[in-house]
Amino acid sequence: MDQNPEPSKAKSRIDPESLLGARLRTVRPELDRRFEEMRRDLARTPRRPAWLEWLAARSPAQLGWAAAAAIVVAAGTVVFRPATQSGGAPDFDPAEYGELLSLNDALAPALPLADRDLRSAVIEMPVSPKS
Amino acid sequence: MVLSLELFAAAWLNPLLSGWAAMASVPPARETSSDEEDTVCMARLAAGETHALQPIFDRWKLPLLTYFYRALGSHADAEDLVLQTFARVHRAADRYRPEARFTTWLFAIARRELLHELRRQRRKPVEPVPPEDLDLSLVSGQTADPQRVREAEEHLLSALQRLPERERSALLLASSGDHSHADLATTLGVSPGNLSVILHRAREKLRVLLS
Repeated sequence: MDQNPEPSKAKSRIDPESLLGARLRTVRPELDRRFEEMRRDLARTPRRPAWLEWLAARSPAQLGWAAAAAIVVAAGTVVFRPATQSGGAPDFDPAEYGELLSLNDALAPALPLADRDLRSAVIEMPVSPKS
Repeated sequence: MVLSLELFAAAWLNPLLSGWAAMASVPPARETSSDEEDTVCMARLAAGETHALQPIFDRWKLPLLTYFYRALGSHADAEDLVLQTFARVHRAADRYRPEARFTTWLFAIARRELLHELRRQRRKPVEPVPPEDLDLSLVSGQTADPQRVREAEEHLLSALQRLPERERSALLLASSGDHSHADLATTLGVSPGNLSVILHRAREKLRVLLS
């Protein structure tokens, strides 16, 4: 006569949380067979470069967003590029530069003053010479 | 006065917090002598020897299968993800650096595959494996009543499906015993302290879901 059936019931109860530590015992032969097939396929196919791998790992939606962002950036660069004058050197016309040329001729005799030693001597010369 | 309060708080809170962190942390990883072998195999794989994938597969197929099965609740989907993970390992072999532990790298790839799969598929009803497929040798105090094991497994899978993915992955990988606390934190991309919090929260939620 079973006086207290509860202990045996409690004994057979299993705490689901404790099953977290239980691994699967084995894999099905089917998985091993599929892996073998996959490995042979991988051996036949040359490995793709990293950038292609990166692309392959992205979903179409991600690629779409990336492409859209690239287009926006490229368009922005073209539209907001600062306007620069890219003309070459202007044609030389002596008549147009006559004043500049005469100024150059007038200043030419003073060219020796550009020499550093001479310039220093001139600068340090007394303002009111005795002689 | 302020200083004495700080000292009081430090004296009482520090042991409490460290004890709590220890409770929430991952038990030490099982010592595996395969680390070096995995590194050698990866070097061979990177050099183009596809055969080197076989020993890695043999070593890690069961831990990966168990992780995916519990994370998805489907054995068939778990098998698909195991193969996808090894295909990814093959393609990324030349980017593997031995400075990182192989398990950290492998399970980071596995988790990415899982996330892709979870984004792709709708939630499906769980399909527990037959009780004889579970290795209960590491679970202490279990009776081998198949019906009870099946019920408990179904209950566990259903509860796991209701956890956020990060908490679920943290709990499953921590329970597997293949990862140290620091390695698991790296795999999940969180700090060790944050991992303790995630694990503590996951265990609390699971307890509530299972009760």
